[in-house]
Amino acid sequence: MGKNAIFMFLAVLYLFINIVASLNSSTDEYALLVFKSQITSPNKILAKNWSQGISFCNWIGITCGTRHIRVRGLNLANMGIAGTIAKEIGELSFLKSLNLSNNNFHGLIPNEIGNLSQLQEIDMQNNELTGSIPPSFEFLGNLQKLNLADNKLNGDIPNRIFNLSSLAEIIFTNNSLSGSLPMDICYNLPKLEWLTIYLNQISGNIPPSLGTCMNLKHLSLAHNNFVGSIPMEIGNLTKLQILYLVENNLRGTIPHSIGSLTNLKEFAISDNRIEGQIPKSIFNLSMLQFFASVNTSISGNLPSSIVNGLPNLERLLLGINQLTGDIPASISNYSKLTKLDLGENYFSGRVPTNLGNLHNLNFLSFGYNQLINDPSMLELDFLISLKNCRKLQSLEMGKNYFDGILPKSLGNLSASVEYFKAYDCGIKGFIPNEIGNMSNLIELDIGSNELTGTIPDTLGQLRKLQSLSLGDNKHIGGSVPDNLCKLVTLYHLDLGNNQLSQQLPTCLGNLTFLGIIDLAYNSLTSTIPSTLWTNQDIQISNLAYNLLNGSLAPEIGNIKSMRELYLSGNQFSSDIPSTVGQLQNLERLIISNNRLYGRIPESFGNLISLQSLDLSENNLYGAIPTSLEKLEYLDYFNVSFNELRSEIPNGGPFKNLTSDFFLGNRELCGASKYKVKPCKGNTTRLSSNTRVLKYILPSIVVVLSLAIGVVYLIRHHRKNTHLPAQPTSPITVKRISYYEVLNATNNFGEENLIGKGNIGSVYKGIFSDGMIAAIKVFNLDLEGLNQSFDIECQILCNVRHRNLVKVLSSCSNLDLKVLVLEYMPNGDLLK
Amino acid sequence: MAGRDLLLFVAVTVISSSLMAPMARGNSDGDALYVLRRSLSDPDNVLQSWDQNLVNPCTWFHVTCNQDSQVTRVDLGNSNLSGHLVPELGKLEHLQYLELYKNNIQGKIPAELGNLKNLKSLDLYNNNISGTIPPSLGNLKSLVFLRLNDNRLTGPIPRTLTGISSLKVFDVSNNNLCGPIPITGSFEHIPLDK
Repeated sequence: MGKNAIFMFLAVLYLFINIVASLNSSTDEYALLVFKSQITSPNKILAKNWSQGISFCNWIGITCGTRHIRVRGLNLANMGIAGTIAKEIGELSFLKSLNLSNNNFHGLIPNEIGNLSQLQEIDMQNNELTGSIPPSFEFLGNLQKLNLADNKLNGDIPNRIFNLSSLAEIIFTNNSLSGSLPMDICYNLPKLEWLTIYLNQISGNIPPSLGTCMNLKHLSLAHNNFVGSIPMEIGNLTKLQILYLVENNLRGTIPHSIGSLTNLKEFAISDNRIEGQIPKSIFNLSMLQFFASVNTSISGNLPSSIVNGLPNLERLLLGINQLTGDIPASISNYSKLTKLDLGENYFSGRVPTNLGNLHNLNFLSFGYNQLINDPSMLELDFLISLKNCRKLQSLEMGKNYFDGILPKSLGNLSASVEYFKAYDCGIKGFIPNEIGNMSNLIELDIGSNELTGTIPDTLGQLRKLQSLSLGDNKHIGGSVPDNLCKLVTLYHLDLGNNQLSQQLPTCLGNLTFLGIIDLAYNSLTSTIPSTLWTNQDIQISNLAYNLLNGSLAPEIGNIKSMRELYLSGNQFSSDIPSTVGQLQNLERLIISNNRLYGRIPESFGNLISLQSLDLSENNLYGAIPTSLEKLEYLDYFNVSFNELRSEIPNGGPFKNLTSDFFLGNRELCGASKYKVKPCKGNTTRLSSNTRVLKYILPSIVVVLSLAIGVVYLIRHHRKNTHLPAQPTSPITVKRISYYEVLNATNNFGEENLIGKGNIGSVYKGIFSDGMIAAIKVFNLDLEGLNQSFDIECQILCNVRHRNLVKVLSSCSNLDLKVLVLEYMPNGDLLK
Repeated sequence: MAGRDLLLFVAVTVISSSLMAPMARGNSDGDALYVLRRSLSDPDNVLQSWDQNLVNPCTWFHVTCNQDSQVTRVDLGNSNLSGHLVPELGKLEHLQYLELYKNNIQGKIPAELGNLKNLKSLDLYNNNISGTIPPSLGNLKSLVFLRLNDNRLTGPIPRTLTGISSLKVFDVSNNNLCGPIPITGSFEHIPLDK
């Protein structure tokens, strides 16, 4: 009876639970359908699959409990889903595992998730979620894993999350979280193994209480704004394997207690302001594979006799510090070492010659130190031993005091070497031919040494070379070998500041990847091979201070990518091609100290990127084009020692140019700050002239020249002769005497008078050779006559415009100043 | 549509996995460029020197830095590159010149490029770029050159571009753009012919 009653009771209870469960299971279905309505998936997978025809327990990504028809797992990782997370997800009250990782969810994380008290895992990494971490997460008393990495979350981390004693993994990497960590962070996290919050904006101190999270294996606080020192309590975390503190504002020293982390595999504190010595105990950490303290302020020596320590060390990165003393030879005991960076320190003494024992070495840098070579050896003997490093890819040894020669056995270095950087380290002697064996070299930089001899032809074998620098050796001579043209992948070629002579190879145009070429300060002769200008991707070209001659080819204008062009200190003699004006990216054009003539092209006004223009010490004439006033970035402009004339423009960048860079042009005038003579006349020089040109002569001419043209054409046609086209030659002025002028104008007879102006009168003149001209006689009473006559002579002689009358000649003595102008029989335009 | 989403999704996973491995040092410019490298196909090994393990990207070929080791130029014009641009480029805070012209780059112009407030020159001409011109490019208040010609861009010329007062050279010829050509703001002074 009693048994029956119990049975009955259980049966009713079971029924009741099932009814409740099925009621709630319809809640689950409803919640999922709302969730579905706010997302899209590729090929509408979810839209099709999550349909009411089938039980939701069979829907993609859903796992149900065995006893109740309730959702226990929702796993939609890697489905390409976009949309927001519906707050109804908070009604899946049996949910244990929620995985939405690697999708494109955006918007907020619903606070309602905090209702899911059975949740053990939340993985939402790699979405576009915004807002802050919901404070309601503090109620997830069963939560073990919380991964919100790679989202756009901001705000503080709710402190109470750190009271969830079941938590084993907290991963908030790569968000914009701020605030600080609570000082009592680990009082309630006995199971925590992972605390990974790198790449956020968390500030404050590293809580010393982290030392009580005894199960911590992985602690990464890198790339935040932590201040203070590294708490010594971290040394209590005996299970710790990974400790990343890179790029914070940490100060102080490396705690000695780190040396007791016997399980530590990776320890990185680069980019902090850590000082003091590296605790010796660290060199006893037998599990350590990776130790990086780049760009800190650590000092002191490396321990000299480590025999058994660090058998697993693969990467030792200590560049950019203040380490001193020798590079210990015992470093060659770290046989697993693949990367060794000791660059930019104060290491002195000799480079160990047993580094060849490091058979796995891939990257080796000890550049920027005070290292020397064995003084009793002529050859750089440490290089000889490196031939055993068959995996070596990168060798940086520049900026030291080696004072030795490159061994011929350089060619025995592994063909795997791609980067050989040995600039400015006191290398003497010849470049060995064997260097051509290093067939995988991408970069060869042996510039700024004391190398002599010639450039070996064998360099042409380095077919993968992208950067070749032999510059600043001062004594490398001979010619630029044709073989360099075989380096078809070359991007950067620096042979500058040597004694290279003879012609440039015409094949240089084959180097179609060339972006930067520096051949300056050599003794190269002949012209620039025109092929060089066929390479349209050159950005920086420096051929200055050689003995190059010939003309500047108009093809320069094809190199649209050109940013900097230096041709100064050569013997180029031509005009400046107006095509240069097409180089809209050009920032520096330095062509001073040549024999260039002609005018500054008007087209320079199109050089909208131009910052520096040096045309000094040439034979340029004419005016400085006012078009240059448009160049708003121009801040260096030097035209000194040319034959320029007329007024210096005063708009745009010229307002701010207050230098000496106009000196040595006798006919330039302008504001006193330029240290040139002032422009004379009522207004400025140019404008007074423009007025003359504008109102008196000019327009007379337009119409009249048409008439002349017609007459000429008719006569010309009648004669049926074909004259060759007039070359635009430098102006040759026919000399005309006072007597001839008197005769031609009938002693300035009234009948010859064409017009009168403020400055003087214009007469028609007929010369004995039949030439008819307009003769402008200046009023001798006029103030400043001499200047205005000179100015007008100069300007009109140099101006060529179809709307302006041409000056044929002038005549000037104490009694008379006249301009002989082309005669326009129909008079002034105004008439 | 679905295919594009899938592609986007693949791109996103590639990017995030690159960030998952913490670096030996902080080097956000290098990280961003490295994401670009991974997104590009480079048959001529022009990007071979882009080694993420180096202290910073300043010794990488085709990259120029200022004195503070921040990237100011990326010069990869005519380099036989294909593949996609990446949103991470928008993180190169000090970038002034992004020269990727004459390649075979596909896909869209990431809207994040609008974050490059120091950018003076955006040269993406002669590629295979599709999609629209992101209106966010109007945020590039230092821009002087914007050359997107000879691509497969569609849609309108965003009106936001008229607010770039520094703009001097604007070329979007040979695309499939539609709609009116702006004439106000900076466009008042830009000649319509090439």
